Amino acid sequence: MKGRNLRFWRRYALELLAVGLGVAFFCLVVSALGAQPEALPGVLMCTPYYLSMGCAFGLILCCFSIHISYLPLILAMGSTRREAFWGFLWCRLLVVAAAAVLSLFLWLLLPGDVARDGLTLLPLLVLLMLLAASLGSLMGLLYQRWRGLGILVLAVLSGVVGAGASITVMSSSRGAALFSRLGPLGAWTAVGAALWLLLGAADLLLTRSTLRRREVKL
Amino acid sequence: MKLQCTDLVKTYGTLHAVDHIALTLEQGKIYGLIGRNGAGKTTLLSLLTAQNPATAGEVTLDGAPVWENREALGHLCFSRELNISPETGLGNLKVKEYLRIASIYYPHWDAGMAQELTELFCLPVKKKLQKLSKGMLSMVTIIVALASKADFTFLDEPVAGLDVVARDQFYKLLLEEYSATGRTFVISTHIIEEAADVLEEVIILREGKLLMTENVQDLLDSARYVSGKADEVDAAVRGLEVHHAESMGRSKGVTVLLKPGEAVDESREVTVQPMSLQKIFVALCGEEVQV
Repeated sequence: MKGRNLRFWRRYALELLAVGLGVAFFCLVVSALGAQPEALPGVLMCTPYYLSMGCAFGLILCCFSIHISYLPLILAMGSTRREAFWGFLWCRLLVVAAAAVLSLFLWLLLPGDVARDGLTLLPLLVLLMLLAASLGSLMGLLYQRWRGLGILVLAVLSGVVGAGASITVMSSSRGAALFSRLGPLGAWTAVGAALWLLLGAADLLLTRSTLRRREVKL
Repeated sequence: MKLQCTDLVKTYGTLHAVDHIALTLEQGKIYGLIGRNGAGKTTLLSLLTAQNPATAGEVTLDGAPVWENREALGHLCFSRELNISPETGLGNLKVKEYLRIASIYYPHWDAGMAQELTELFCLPVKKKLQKLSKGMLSMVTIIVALASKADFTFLDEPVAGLDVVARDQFYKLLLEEYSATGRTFVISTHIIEEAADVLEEVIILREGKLLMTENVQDLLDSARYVSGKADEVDAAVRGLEVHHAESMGRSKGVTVLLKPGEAVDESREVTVQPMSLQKIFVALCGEEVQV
């Protein structure tokens, strides 16, 4: 991949990460406002959860819009399809990696029970973000092919993510506990990994083959 | 540097949008691409710049295929009419973001020129594309085309929506840039009369097929409109390449394209007139008229 292409996708990844950070900050403020003063350190330690959630939400929306707007745009401006494909992939991985590193850094900086649980859950959070990216991308492909169906899937998933976000925000001080009550962690990680492999492979194959035949209609 | 396509075909179902076109574009010329609506102009430009895959045939730049060729694509710019409908999502981009993305992808981007043109056109860079008028959107595409500094620059309806002053400004800018750099421009337009003065070569498409590639001056020199009584006109143009006959009762008018050494028989009672590029185009692509 050439430098110019990397520049574009790096900038886009940074904007996407900023969305994640914005959501995390918003959730943090809302949680802090509703929490008792003694619970504030616990709320702060939930920041990586909010960040992962914000990034996952941002990835769904952005991967969707990349298919609709940005891929045709950069193809119209002379990018090769190969560059567009790898750039898109690199952008998502960069966001997930940055969110994971930030979470790791925060939990290492503020040790405690929540941080310990969080570190254990980190692989699952990474998988969730990767899944979100694949879902968003698949929805973009769906929308591009069958407009209405794509919107329907987007609406349902946005509702699910929104509801999940609300639940987590409402019980922010017990965020880690909420995750740990869901079942054995290993099993969830395995399920997440399997799902990601399935969706990720479908998304990559479809994105690649669609890009090869894609016509720019701006 | 030469951009060539050989036996280029693009089909959509049973429709042949581009039908076996072979074309060579040389560096340092301004080409006009003209044709009626649906003639395949935009499709041809999209294929030449590898924005759409061809059904058959190949586009090459100095012998190297353009498709998926970063190096070759760096020499091409296709600045098309912007579609800001909600389906593309493009309307949410601000002008400055659009220009920033262009500056990343066009390797020879001239930021200074983009800035100058933005100021010249008084373009509100902080506005979203969907908030711009049709004329302003055309200005954005003109800025991208000129500032891209691509050796082969294609403009699809660049003056659509521009007022007369802005159109004049565009042609002046185009000629200045052409004189200074010797870049190749291919302009697809329906406003033929205005563009005629700046065009060096004309490419005429008809129903997806290449009807003609000709030097504009040579075409103007060779085209004549011959009118008079039908039998006199027929006699005057006998043996010549006749296009587009118009009959009105006993009168008749025909367009002829003269080959070197040929002439209309002016001893007959006919009127022979030179033709404008637009009239030639109508004669070549319009329907025969009988009243």
